[in-house]
Amino acid sequence: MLAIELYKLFKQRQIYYTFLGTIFLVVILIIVAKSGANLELQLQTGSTIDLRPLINAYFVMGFTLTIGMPFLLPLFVSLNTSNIFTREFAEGTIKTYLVRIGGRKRIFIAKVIVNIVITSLLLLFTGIISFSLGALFFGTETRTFISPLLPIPIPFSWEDNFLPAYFYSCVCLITVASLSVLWSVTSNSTGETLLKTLSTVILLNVLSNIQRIKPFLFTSYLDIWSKAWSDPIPWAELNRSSLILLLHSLGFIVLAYLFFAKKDVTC
Amino acid sequence: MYGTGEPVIQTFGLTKNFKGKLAVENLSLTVYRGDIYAFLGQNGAGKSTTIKMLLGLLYPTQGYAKVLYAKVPGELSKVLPKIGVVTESPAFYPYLTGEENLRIYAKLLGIRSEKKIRDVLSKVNLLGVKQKFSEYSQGMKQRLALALALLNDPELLILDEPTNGLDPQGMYEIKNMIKDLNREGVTIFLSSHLLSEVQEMATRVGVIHRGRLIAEGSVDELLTFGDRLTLMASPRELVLNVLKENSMVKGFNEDGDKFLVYVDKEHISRLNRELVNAGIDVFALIPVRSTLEDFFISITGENNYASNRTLQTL
Repeated sequence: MLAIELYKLFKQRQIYYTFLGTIFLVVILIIVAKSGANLELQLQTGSTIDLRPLINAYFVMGFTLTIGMPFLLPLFVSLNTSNIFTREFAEGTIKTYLVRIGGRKRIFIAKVIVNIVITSLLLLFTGIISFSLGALFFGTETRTFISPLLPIPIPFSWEDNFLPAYFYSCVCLITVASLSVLWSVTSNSTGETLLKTLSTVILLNVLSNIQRIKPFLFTSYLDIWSKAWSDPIPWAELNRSSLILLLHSLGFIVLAYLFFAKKDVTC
Repeated sequence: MYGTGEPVIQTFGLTKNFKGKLAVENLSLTVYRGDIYAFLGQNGAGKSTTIKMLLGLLYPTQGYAKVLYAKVPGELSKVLPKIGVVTESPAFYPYLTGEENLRIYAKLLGIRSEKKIRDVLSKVNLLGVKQKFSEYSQGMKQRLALALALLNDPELLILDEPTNGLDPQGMYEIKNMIKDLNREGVTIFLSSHLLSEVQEMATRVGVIHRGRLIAEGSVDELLTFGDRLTLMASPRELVLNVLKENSMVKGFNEDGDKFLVYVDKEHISRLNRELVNAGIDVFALIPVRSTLEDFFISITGENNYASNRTLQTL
């Protein structure tokens, strides 16, 4: 069933739009860097740093996360999730699926797994494409990368910086994907799922300004991946935040299953 | 083929309430192995809702159903491999061809044979069609749904308006296919509004009206419900009074200046006498052979006076 779900997913044109979207994001980044635009970063001390000499494949790879994680990548993840779940309801195919195969639990689990796989693949693709295009246009010579606040040319480490950054990004996006699963089983159109997911993330982001409730909102942890750029890396905090995100993901998925299991299929 | 007495579908007080709107009410029906059971009703009568409950797509508000002895919906997945289904408005993946769609379900059903897929496609005249499902006509969609229903050699076929959207040739072919499958031992449960089609092949009939099963039985039983007479008589009010009060009259419709009256043959002359004794001028009293359509209209039509009596008999 997993293989069939993946087959169906990759037969949908919409899925490729999200992958194309990440290419587009990297290309825009490269065009801006190549165009000679003012790429100076003002430090708190008042001095500025010219970013252009720092730009290389690693820079592009890291900066793509910085730009993509706040909005674009969650948007793409929600789009994929709605194609996996909501589209089946919108087009009525869930009805055929259920009366031929049955077992709502089996179908739901297969779809959740495929959702996690496609989310991870999207992020992996983002990493590969940003590094490859970065290497093509800027080379890989200077080993520097960027923090969320300022570029810090420190000795580069795949294991300690890039892999954790991408791994924790994946945890963050899986949480968004799980939220999207919850909304997709309660929606009748892909647009509705998208709107509900992004509205929830934005609303909770706003609410996270209230310090008293901030620790209880999953959106407060959606930037944990950026801690992988810190020196030293706060591993304990990263792991604790990841655990909180994974627990939220589990909660969203269990809740989604309860809805799905009892949902009347009226299409 | 007639039912053998072994129930393959049973519903027990099945009820579905959609946010205060009662779609199906306390429905209890039985389909026996070998039956071609025609489930008849007007649009919105509750046919599709009932079928969706049988297939686990909708959860009953009350009551339950058993399909091939499996309680629905909990145990349904155990028996789904023995069931073929055509739902109302069949839906397949629009970005795949018919064959690709069937291949997905074949794999999920554990059918490895490509020949089987070609056979069922050939049976519904879709073999070699390369169009994507999104480009299919309504008739083609219906035929693909039938192909999927036949993919696993089912022992029970549940068909919701299977001839919907088909041209006369297509309808004729499907009707023959249903008869052939039944001869091979497949039990058929089909909903339809094409009564003349159904009368030819159905062994048993259930009539649902406004969510309630108002008649159930073999076609012969239902058509001998009462011999039908065309009565032309006046004055109208007096005729209505006699027909309503007379215990011999099983039901009647008013159709323009005529009345269609259901009464047993042996009571016809007595009814005639009573009409005349009541001061009614009887111009014509003509026996008419009933059809399923007549019966259906007589118990579901707006101007009928039979429904309540029929309900009491169920």
